[in-house]
Amino acid sequence: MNPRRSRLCVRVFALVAALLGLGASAFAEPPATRLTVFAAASLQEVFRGLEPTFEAAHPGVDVVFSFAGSQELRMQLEHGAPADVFASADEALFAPLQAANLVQPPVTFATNGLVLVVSADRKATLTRFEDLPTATRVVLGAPEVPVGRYTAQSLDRMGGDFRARVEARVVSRELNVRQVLAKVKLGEADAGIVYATDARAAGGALGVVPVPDAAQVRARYGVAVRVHATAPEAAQDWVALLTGPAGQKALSAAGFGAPAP
Amino acid sequence: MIRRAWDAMTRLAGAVLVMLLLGPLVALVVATGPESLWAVRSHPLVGPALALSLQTSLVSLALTVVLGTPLAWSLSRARGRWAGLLETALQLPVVMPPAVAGVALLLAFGRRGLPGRLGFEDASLAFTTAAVVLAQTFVSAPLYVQSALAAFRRLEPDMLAVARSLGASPARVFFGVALPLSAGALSAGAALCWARALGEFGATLMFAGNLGGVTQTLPLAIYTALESDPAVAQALSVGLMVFAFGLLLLLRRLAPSGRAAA
Amino acid sequence: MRTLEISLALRRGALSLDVALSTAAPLALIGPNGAGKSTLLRCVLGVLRPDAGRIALGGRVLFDAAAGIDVPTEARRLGFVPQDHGLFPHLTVAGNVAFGVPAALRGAERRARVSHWLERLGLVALADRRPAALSGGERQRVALARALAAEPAALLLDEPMASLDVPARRATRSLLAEVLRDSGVPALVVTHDFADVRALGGEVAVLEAGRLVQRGTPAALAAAPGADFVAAVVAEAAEASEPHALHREPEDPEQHRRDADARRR
Repeated sequence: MNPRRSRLCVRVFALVAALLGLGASAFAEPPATRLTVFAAASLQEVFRGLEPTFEAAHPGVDVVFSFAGSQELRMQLEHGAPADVFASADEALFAPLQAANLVQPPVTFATNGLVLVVSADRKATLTRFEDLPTATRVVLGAPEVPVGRYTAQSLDRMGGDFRARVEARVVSRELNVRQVLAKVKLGEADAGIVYATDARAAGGALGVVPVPDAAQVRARYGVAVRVHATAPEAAQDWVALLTGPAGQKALSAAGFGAPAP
Repeated sequence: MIRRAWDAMTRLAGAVLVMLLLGPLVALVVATGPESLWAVRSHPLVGPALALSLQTSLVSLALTVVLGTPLAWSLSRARGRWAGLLETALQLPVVMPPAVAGVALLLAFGRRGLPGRLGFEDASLAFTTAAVVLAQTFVSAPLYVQSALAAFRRLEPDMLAVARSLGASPARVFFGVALPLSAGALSAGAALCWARALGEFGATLMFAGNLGGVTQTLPLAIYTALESDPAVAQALSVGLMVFAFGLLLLLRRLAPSGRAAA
Repeated sequence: MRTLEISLALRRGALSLDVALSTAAPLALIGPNGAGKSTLLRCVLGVLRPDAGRIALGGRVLFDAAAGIDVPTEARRLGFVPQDHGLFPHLTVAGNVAFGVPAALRGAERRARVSHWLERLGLVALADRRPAALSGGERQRVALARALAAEPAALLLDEPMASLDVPARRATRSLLAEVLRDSGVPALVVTHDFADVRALGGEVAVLEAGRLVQRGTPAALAAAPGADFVAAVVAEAAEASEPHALHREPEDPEQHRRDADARRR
């Protein structure tokens, strides 16, 4: 590269950087304080419902959410995403984040049980969890994702060859709960295992069959404040809201269980 | 002086796009490193997914070429409003978000779709390897049809009329003139289409599901791995890229030069 | 001797074509741009379908709107030489010439037919070349050889000289006239150049706005021009004793420049 050309490159880069800087500062102008909450997709309805309560109690604080799969959010945090709070559907994700000194110790704020959802076509005939192996097509969560892991544990607890008989009917291992639910809703699958909250949000068209207590596995939802949070106080307050009476009431209304069962 | 400024500008514009396109790929390769790439080859997800991806994408490519070439040929001959409308409609699968495409495929070919309505409830294609092929074809075939159509439209109408005047049947005009003259453009279109099929993810996940050895293609395996072990997913992605790069390079070499009708 | 009989009507965009003519020999077709010359040729060829009328060749009906007859192009046995020659770029010169030789002809017979026409049009040395490596005049001769090797029952030539430069045009003109005479089949030759008309030696028909306005020998036309266009063509041709392009659309700027140069000389 000759010197003149490299000088040109430098100038252009400077220009581009300046423009980007301008754009960024225009965006970053906060009304006062911005609280960024990363949360598992299953928390969307509850968290949006809590937003007005929180903002009313904290004038000048604007809460913004980013909802996605817990694993995706974890990766974004590892790559420097500027979240203040991270609420995960899988507490196991906190260990590596803590080890990297990215989050403070988490607090468990809710649990979520499993239920069997049955398609509209089969809900009259498939009414007991024990009957699951009679379904033609079953969709479950993939073992790599939390719901799949809990599902496997739950099937194991049924004893005997129950898990093997169910897995013989499995036509797909979905990467998130919404995919399981979508396929049962569309009638392509006869039955699937999802979180209780998702079944509730899906409305009445589907059959919902409880998982027997002996086989029930509860997902533990944890929340943690990021080590370099830009709004650490507001972040702590959000955690307090979740674990306090108002948060617990909203969570319970959406079908979540209490943190210490 | 103006010429120089122009040269600099075009080069700069090109460089920006090249950086945007290749930057992430380079970053992925650098972040992965050769050891983990080597280590991942024996990961249990890899073998079946790679084999399935190869099989399904090649079947889908064959299906596209065998059905899409005649389609493009007749569309290129056709005149009138309906042909234009059909041609535009055939591009829609490309703009459809893949997950929506998957739902559409379920509604068409699933239990409550055509087979179900005709009384073959269990003839539903959903969750089968055939569904993977269908999903790949759905998203990739429009790319091939479009390039074939463009290639056929570049043929001189007078030259084709001459061929017919010399006694050539429509089939001979097609195989003896149109096809050899469009071969370069057709294989370029086929390469693009195949690459798209190989990378297909969203529609497959929705329509075919995700079951190892049956419907779990490489992109699905990568996404599945991403849920538990991002490092494995990264290594797999690099593997897919290297593999696709090699195959596209090979296709380029095998394909006749992109000579259009002179 | 076979006769090509045409009587047809076709409305297409601004053009309303209504023509009745018949010929047993090469017939030159002249007329201003948009008069319908090429359209007429394409109707006879069978790539355009007239709204009404009848086309017959030596008593064989190729098209009859009333009777619902429309013989497909490949069964009409017509030799077609389009303006830009329409050579097959992926075939050699010999391959182009062999394309229309009937499949029934095999081996030595087939080779003999091809080499006859390569010889007749002076293409033997070029037999293994591709069209991209040929000059305009050579391409034109290949197109002619290819059409004739299929032994057509009639020939349709759409401005066969239009894309040639002046020297090539002069050289090809007499060869074309000779080959057409020898072939003994009716032919329609669209041209803009009165010198071409004279060289062909036969009759000339004048098409204006979709109608046939005059027909006769070149000399008769010159003596009593039946339309302004004819008068202009004849006058201009008389002015320059040299061959001269008239009313040609400058589709090729390079060509246009060459023509202009030639005119200045």
